[in-house]
Amino acid sequence: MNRLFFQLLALAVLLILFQMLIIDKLPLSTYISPEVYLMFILILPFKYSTIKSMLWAFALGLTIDLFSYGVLGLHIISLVAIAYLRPQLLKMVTGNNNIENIQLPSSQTLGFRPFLAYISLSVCCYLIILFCLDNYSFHNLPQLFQRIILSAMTTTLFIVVLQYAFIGRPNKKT
Amino acid sequence: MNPLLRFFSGIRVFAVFIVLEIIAVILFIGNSYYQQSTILKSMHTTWSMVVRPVHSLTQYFSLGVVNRQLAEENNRLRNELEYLQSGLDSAAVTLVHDEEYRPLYSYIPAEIIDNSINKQQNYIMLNAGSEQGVTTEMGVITEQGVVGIVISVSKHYALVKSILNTEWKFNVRLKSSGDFGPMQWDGINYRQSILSDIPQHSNVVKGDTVVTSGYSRMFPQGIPVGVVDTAVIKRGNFYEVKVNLFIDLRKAQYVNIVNSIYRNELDSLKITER
Repeated sequence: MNRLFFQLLALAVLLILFQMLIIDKLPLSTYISPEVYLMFILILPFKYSTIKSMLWAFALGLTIDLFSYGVLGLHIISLVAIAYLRPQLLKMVTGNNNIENIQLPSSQTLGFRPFLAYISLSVCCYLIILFCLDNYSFHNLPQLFQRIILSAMTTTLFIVVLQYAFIGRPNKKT
Repeated sequence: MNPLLRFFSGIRVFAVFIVLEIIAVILFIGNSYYQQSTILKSMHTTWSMVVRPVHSLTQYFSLGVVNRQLAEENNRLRNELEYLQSGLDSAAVTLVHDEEYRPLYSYIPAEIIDNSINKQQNYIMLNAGSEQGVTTEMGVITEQGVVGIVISVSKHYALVKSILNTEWKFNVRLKSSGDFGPMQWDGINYRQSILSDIPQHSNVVKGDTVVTSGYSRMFPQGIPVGVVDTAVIKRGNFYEVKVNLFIDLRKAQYVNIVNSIYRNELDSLKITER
C-alpha cells in the first residue's frame, strides 16, 4: 500500500466515472462505443509486474461489468487478456531497445508514433475480444467489423488526447 | 536474469493469467438470470447515488421537448375525453359502478435516470420501485411506444431491459392484416427493429403500423411500436420485416409502467392448464 497504489486507484476511479458519466452519455451511433477506461491498463508503469497489472485488470473489469448492467465477466476476460499481452505489445512496438529506461509508456517516453501504434494495437486487440464475446457469435461479420473499426478509432483518439491531459508533463507520476 | 528463473517467473505469470481468466469465464457462462438480477439489485442503490445528481443536471436540457410532448398528449387525451363524454351523454345510460367495469390496466409513472443505446444489450434504470408497486415483468411504455420490460426491482428503482436489447423478444401485430410475430432488435440501428415470422401469403405494406398484440398481458393491446420499412423473405416462407420505431430512446425521459391488474389471475389459469 504505497503512494503509487493510491495514485493508481484515483486514476481508475476517475477513468470509470469519466467513462460512465460522460463518454456513455454522448449521443453517438450504435456502432461507436469508446472504451476509454482501457487506458488505465495501457499506461501502467512499464516495470509494473504483469501479475499485479492483471489483478488491477480483474478489479477494473469487475467494476465495469457491475455498473454496465450487462453480462458479468465480459470486461474481465477482455481486460485481463490485454494486461497479459501488454509486455509483448510494448516490446513489439519499441523493438526491444532501451526498454529498461522507460518508466511510463507515454508519447514523451516512447515517441509519438510508437505510442500511437502501441495504443491502437492494444485497443484493437481489446475490442476484438470484447465485441466477439458480446455478440456471442460471428453471425453478423460486416457489422461486427464496422463496430470494431469505428470504436477502435474513437477509443484511440480519446486515449491519446487524455494522455496529454493526464501526463502531459513528463515524470509527473512514477 | 537467470534463464531458468525467467522461465519460472513466466510460468507463474501464465498461471495467474489462467486462473483469473477461468474465474471470469465461469462468471460469464454461469450468468443466470437470477444471479444477474440479484447482483444488479444490490448495485442499484449504489449506482443511483452517482447517477441521480448527473441526471437532475442533464434533464434540464431536454425540458423543452418533454413539455411539448406532454402538451400534445394532454391535448389528445382531452379530445378523447370530450368525445367519450358526449357519447355517454347521448346514450343516456346510468353508469353502473360494478365490478364489471374495472379497467384491465393501471399505470405507474416513472422517469428514466440512466439509459444507453450503444451496446448490444441495453438497459434502462427508472426511479420507481417496489414502493411504488412495480414488480418484475411489467411492461414499460411511453406516448411514443414500447420502451421495455422490468427485469429487477429494488425499493426505489427498477431496471428495465430496453427494446434495444438483442436478448428480448415481444409479440407485435400488423395493424392492417392482423398478422402477428415476435419482434427483436438486431443490434444495428437504434431506430429500427426486426419483426419476423410473418407468413409469406400475408400482405405486408410499407408504412403499415405495428402495434402490440396484447397476448402476453405485459402491454395493453394496440400500443404503437413503429411503421413497416422493408420486408424481405427469409428462411423459406416467412417475411422478415424491418420496422422503424416510433420511440427515440435517446430522447425518452418520462415513461409509464404497465400494471396488468388481472395478471395473477391469468397466470394461475395458465398453471392449472398444465
